[in-house]
Amino acid sequence: MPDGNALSPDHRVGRSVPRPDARSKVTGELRYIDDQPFSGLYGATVRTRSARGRVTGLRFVDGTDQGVDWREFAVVTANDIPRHSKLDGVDPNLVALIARDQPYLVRDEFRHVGEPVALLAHPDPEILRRAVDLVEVQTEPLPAVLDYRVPPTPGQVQHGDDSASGTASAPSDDANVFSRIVVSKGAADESRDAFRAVFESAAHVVEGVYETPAQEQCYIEPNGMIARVEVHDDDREGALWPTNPWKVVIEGSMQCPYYVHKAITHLLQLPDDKVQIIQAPTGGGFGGKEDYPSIIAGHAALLALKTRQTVKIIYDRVEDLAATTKRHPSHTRVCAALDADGKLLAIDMDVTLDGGAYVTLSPVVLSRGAIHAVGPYNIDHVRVHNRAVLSNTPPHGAFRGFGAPQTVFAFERHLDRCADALGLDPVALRRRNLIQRGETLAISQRIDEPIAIEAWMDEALTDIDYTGKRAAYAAFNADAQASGSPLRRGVGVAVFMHGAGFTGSGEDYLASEVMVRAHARGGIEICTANTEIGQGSITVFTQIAADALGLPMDLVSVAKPDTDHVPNSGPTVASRTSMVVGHLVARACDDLVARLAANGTLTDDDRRSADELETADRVSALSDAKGKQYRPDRLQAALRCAASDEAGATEGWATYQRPPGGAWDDKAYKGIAYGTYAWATYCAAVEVDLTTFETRILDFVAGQEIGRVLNPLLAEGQIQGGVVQAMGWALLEDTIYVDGHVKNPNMTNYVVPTFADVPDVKVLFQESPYAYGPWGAKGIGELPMDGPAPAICNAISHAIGVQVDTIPATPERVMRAVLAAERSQEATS
Amino acid sequence: MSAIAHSAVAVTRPTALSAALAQLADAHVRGAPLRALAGCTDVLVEANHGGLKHRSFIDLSGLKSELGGHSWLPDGTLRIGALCTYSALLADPRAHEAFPMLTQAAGLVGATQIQARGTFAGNVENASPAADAAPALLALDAVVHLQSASSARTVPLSQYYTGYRATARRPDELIVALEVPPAPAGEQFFRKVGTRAFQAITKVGISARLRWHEGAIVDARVVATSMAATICRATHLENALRGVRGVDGATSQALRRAQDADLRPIDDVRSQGDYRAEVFHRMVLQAVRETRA
Repeated sequence: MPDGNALSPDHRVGRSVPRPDARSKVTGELRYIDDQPFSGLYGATVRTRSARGRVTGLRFVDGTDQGVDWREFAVVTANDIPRHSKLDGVDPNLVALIARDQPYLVRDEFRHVGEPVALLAHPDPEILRRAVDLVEVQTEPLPAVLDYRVPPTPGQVQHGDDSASGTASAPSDDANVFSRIVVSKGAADESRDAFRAVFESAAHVVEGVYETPAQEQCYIEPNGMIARVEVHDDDREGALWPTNPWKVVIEGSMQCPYYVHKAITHLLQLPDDKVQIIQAPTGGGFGGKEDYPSIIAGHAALLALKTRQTVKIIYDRVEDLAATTKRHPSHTRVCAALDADGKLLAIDMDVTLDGGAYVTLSPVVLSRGAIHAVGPYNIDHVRVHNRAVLSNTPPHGAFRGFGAPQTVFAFERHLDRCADALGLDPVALRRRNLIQRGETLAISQRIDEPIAIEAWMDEALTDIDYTGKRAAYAAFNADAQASGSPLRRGVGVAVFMHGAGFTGSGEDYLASEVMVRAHARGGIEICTANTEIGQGSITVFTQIAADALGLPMDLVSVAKPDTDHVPNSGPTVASRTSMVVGHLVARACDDLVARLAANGTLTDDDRRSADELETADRVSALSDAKGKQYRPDRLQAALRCAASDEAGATEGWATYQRPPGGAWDDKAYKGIAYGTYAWATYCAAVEVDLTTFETRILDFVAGQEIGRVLNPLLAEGQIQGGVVQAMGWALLEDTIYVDGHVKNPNMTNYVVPTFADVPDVKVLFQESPYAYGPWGAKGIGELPMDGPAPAICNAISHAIGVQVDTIPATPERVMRAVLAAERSQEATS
Repeated sequence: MSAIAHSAVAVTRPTALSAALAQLADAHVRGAPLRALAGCTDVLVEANHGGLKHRSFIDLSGLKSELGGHSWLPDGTLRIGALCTYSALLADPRAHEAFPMLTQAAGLVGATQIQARGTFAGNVENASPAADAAPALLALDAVVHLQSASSARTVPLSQYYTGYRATARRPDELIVALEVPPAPAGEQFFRKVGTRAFQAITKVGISARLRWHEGAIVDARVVATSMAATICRATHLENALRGVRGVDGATSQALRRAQDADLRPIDDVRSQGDYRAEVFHRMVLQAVRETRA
């Protein structure tokens, strides 16, 4: 870290201050939604049991012998929901997200196993559980898409191609395509022929196909919601949608309170102030609690409205694994043109993501995948054709990395295949192609920040002793081969980047707002809609505000995300919380101080002397850190005064403003996709046992440049956690779909790694501060998900001399790859 | 939401073996057999996943003085009480010396918490084709001691399994002990391939004893895990191993043919048949290499 960027010792930012929420989490005092005191009804969901069809009826099978008396149950079906909203005319039964195609409850046609058809409520959770199995969903089958990679037949078309339905003609290219994005650069912008010519004249053309599976987020706390209705005296007619609306209050496990708010106002056709959404302490999200909580909240609210009682819906692990969103499976073809020395001349990629049954977030997942596909390399001619397509499985959704892990896996794996084809060291090939300052990414974004990717890469390579290991492992493997030992070792690398915040103009549309409020103890309360989901946002916001104001940490508190009390600072997704919202927290602190100065509560007499200021802090380019210009005792007195409202300014506000610079062109798919990127090199060393084909990770180094490390312990934990999650994706985790059913919806058979499966993960940070993040910080939440899978598979391929192109690289897959290579070797010899 | 309503469950807790056996006999006569509870590591999983059929249980925790722990008989036989946990045996250094394959197996059951509760007898009676300890016991020629109110008998473990999840135990009987006759440590080989390092169900496993004399295998026990509906000995393979002096291409092929006559593993949610067969074969070869004196 250059000295000019150093923080003074009195900073809270840059230090591993303890988490304010740690104690209650470790001791179990903290109450997650299912732990909270509750009296009311339990709700449960009746779901479809086949991949596609029409619901023709529900039969409530007699369950007297099991204590099920249907007269005791409240039942909600789609018939309880009007077909047209009074507010916007759209069917309220369709979840308000990007496209409105996913129903809260099936009206007629359904598209996946586990789709909600009816909701039941009962006071006894055990009887309720038995009752769910006694509801027979009567259906007529329709042709289902069970393999997203196969083009649909006319009968399978469910999206995007009206012409094909009911006719014998072949569906068009748009049939079942949710979204299509083309990234192009250089000759690919000119013409097909010009682009083809680059490949035809290249010294080498290397092609490969890569696949990745659906991955479950496996947050430790399954989904859950409690909904209550504030019934008023007009409740006479017993309708779900009375003329004079009630207030609906929903509390639960979630990442994005305002997403739930938007969904519920649409479903219940209520004005904004009649819906209150509160985030309960949340045991992990990873994207899995970005969009699906809206559906559970809607279900709980519908039952609460029907019964006029508080209703709680908690998913158990099996229901959560079987019905909620997972990472998009992907299939990617990569074709590279290289010159004789390994310079990449052109890249042609076709990416297909399996969106599942409804659009949900697929277009934006596809976008992030497309933008990250070609990585931190300077390549003149690029074409990346991306499609998200329908299949009849539960919708795939947000998951840490959001499309980037899939494309980064394909591309970084492919670079090793290219190196192998050219007889080059994989790192040497990367060196020839890494992007330098002033060069452009595939989306034509010029990198103006002072990057030194090669030097940063070298730190990670040195740490794992890449060169030494390449040589030592070659000798080890030769010895093993000679002596009949089944062990083989390899080392692999992935170089990648991850853009933080919403893509392109996404942050402009969000227009996030943050508010800080003076409190009577002479400090402030930070009000944002951003949720603590285990990542440490409470801690980091507290550090930022404490430094912006020059106050001790214990005078800063963070408000519970509650849509009645906090402004909409956007969703807790996209690695944006520290970088984008944290920056707004600092600016809102400045705003509060500015208001207090403007109305005379703070005067020039309250300022620190020039000497004090100099020793106190270097003022960040970003936050004016106005608070630090005042003496702490005077500022606290001013805040106490403000809290009593005598000062006429109790709140400071900040609204997102786009950093200066170029814009993003969503049509051409060119421009400034992200204000900045975090840059990373991950290295893995593995040992493969050719008796069992199991892979053991011996060593792992994760090196990254992240602008500013706000809290070293949390940042290291964030990286290590993401790396371990990605190790599971690389080697173990596979969602097995058979006829659209998840066949392994439990933690026994959906296999996530334990500590016994992973090595110590060494984390290295570089800091090159970003001018528009708090004290220079960039987002890091998703970054660690991108690199481990390709680094590990590159290491496996190095160890066994066979390309491993599909993850998880289970022993079964590695065996088939090895045996196939042996067979083809026998055939040629 | 708990999977079984606690009110719907009946549990008795006898404090003497004789009382327990009387209760088992009584329940059997009434046609409502009791399920025995020791470590509960299987019962609780079944309950959580909604597959628990039983509603009446007999809790054996009051019988620790009669059924707990393990002992060594004068001839070196290991007697494992019905309530002996994996942890208890793992704490005895003599067990590691005498029966390394058994302690290796016990050390790979679930993880520490499961090992502290789970019992060898429970593992035998649970009759899972993916069991961890039972295959090692089978390869060691263990014998099951069964007792009822009116009789006692012993059944070799090799005759104990009568089908998928079915055993020779009558509903009025209780396993009171397992006995493991002495076996040279050097002939023992155990390997488990699980879905992950710990907290893992076996995808394919081998428990073998290969006795060598003058450079050749003279006797073999090879038990396969997760390769059939029950854990089982691969008898053709055991025969084919006799006389083997080392691993070459022809021997390897002959062993694979014999294995295929014994075992036709299937695809399921945890692995596939081709993988199980190939890896089992490779582990047989590893066992030959590693037990050769």
